[in-house]
Amino acid sequence: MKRNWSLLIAIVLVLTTLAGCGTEKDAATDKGTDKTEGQTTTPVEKKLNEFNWEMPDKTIEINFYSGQDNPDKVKEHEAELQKYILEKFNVKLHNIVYDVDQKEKLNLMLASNDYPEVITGLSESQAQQWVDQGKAIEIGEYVDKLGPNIKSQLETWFKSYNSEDGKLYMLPKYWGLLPIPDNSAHIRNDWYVAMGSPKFETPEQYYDILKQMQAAHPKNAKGEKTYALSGVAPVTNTMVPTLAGMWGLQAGYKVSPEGDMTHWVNTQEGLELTKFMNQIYRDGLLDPDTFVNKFDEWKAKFSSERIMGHIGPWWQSWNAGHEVWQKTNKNWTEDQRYVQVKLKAASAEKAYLSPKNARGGSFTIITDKAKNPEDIIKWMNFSITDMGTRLVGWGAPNQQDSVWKFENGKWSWVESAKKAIIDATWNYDTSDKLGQGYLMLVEGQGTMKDDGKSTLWFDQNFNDEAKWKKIMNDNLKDTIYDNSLGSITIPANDPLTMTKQQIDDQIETLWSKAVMSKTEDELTKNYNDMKDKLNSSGLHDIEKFRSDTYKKRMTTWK
Amino acid sequence: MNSEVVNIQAQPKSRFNHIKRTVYKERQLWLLSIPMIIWVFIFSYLPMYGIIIAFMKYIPGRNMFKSQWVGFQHFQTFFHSPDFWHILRNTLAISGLGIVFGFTAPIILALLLNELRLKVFKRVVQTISYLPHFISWVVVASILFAILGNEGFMNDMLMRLGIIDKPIAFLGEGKYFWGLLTATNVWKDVGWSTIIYLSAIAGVDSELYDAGKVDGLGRFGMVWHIILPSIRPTIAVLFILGIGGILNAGFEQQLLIGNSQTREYHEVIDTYAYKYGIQLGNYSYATAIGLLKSVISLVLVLGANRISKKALDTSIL
Repeated sequence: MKRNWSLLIAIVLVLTTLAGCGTEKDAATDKGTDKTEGQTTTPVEKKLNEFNWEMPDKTIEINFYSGQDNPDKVKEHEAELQKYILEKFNVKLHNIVYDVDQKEKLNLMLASNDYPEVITGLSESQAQQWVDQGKAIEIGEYVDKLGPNIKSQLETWFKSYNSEDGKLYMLPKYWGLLPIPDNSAHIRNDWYVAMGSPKFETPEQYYDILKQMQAAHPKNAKGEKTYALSGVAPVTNTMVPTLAGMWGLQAGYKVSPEGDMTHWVNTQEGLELTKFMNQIYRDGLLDPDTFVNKFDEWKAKFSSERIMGHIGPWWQSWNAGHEVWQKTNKNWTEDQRYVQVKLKAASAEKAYLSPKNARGGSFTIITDKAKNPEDIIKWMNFSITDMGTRLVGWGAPNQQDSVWKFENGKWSWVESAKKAIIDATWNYDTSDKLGQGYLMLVEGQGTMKDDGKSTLWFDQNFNDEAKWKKIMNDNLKDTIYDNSLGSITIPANDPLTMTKQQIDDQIETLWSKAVMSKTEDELTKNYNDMKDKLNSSGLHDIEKFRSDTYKKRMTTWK
Repeated sequence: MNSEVVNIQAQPKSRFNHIKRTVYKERQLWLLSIPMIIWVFIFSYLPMYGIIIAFMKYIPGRNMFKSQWVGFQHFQTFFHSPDFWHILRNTLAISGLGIVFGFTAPIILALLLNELRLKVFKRVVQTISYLPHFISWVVVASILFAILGNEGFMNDMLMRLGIIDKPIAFLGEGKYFWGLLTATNVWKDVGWSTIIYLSAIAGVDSELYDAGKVDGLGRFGMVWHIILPSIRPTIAVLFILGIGGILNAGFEQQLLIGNSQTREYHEVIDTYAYKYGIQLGNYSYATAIGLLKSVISLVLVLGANRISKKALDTSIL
């Protein structure tokens, strides 16, 4: 009896399975027939949306990892633009971030084989690492077939993205050159004007003015001590290369016409700029937390009116200066702010403060997890256009808080938003809410070709009309340069990556020690010790690697 | 000849039978232990096969077993690293200070607490001393910045009192780091670590105290001649385990309290392995450093255990 029951169950199972297969086959055949009939009898008309985008029948879903950030914040900020793109384009973009160091996460993704179909925000060497492991797919043929805009937009740089065997695996994000400054010296404007706006050109003259300013304002309203100069750690990332730029170096390196690159530590200019900082320290006018300040701590000190000057990115003194005071001080006036100024050492021919990378220093790859790379390239082919760049850069148009309108194929600014930027009263929380910059993959940041003036960054579009932006741009216009050749990253898994990490770690410690020397003799000794330690740790190897790459680029990127 | 062969063959058989009998006798205990044994096997022993990458050039994304065999190359790289000596120095110094102060402080506190006669007061003191253990290092770091920062409470007070005219960079100078970290570790864990000593003290036979009184021992005499000898096995076991962790000089503390100016004093083996191994994707290098640390720790535990067995007749194995 038992055996009969077992036999019966086994037979039922086998029959059900076979029946299931039969049905599947029939259904597939039916579907195929329908499809063929549909294609032959009624050709599907492709629907174009107002952006001239061919609406796909099935939603295109693109999940991309973009680096370290707060996932909840990104989810909230991408929502509005994500919804708009889904409705109008039938494309669902999802920006994946983790609150984990980007380098660490990328390696974990590689090791665990768990990653999305697109990864963006990679340095060239990181992207190459994915190519080397066979995880990034070759996209040359897709771009040839579906990406005419990608080719035309990237123009002369296009071939430079090819690997040595002529294959294309990565596309740049933030390519193009927008001639606006990044880094500079900063000075408290209203107090400077009150001093009679004395002229200055060199770092020493600038410091002299800061010193006088500090003497006039030795304490803030709360009675806390003020300082002439401050900075945000790690100082050797931005502050020192900017200082070095004042002494004529480019992104921290002295570059010979032949392409030899010498790190600032191994130059006379490096010693000079260290002496300059040491003088401020010895005068007791350098913020003692300069070498350990995290941005938020620094912002608290800076917004408390305790700092006369700063060296670093322009946005830092905006964000920590008048943007705070506007909200907290009812009597705030527009001249209460910092202005960004050019400094050039007497010995330098030119100041190089803002290195730009027209080729793009950040890259996007499509991974082997992508089921339909063609769809992703199609989206990128739209996204890279001027109109695509507007959409992704400025957020959805025609919404309640939008900064731009798009009607009948024509676009225009929302005047209130434009005015807020010009008047420097724009609330950047609104930018976040609009999803500005949260769904970017291949956008350029130079001037757009269709009107010759628009740019990806919404707040940089009215620089000639925005008084304070214009002042900054005029002050710094000849300090901006294209550093595409000098933007070099060391390949992952190369032993030099460890050497570079060792040097990065040591230089921060050793330079702060040199700056905080008590006498000039001690400074010279500490500086030379730093030089010896870094060179024995392999700094010359890094210089050689960079020089070789630079020279190679000089010949191949012509 | 024949009987010898029989004996040799019989010995393993009888041992096997003995084990079998013991297991059968303790079958309920073994049944209860099975889930734990499986758990330990799966989560503690099975992943150990990954140690092999310490001897390979593993690149994330590639098949581990197809990676290039490099032998001891990663160990050599670590020994030849320009940071090796100061990392080793920092690790041993921070751990050494931890053992000297962090190990003795809970014993002293437990002895002091034991001397308190007012029970309510004793409980309040105990509870207060446990609390820091539950404060995360992020909060501890913030407290330290508020107290010892360049513009913190301490500098402010010293300047107001006219003791100094310029702030002292307690958190910005390497020379203060070891002491600061040791003090913070002691403050954070002293109360928590007393629990085990207090329970050991509670287990001391009350007749011993009575005998001590009869012999005329005072309070210090009781501590020296009765309590300390009675809790000696506990102290020895914890000391052996502490020696095993001598290369665990901390991780979060260094990352949160340390900064670029204190790097030469705060970088320890774990932070180095994290930065140069995990963050740079050099998993083989990180594994090699971790393996080296584990081997040294094991040797130290076994060594300390052997010494303890000979000197104090107390061991953990």
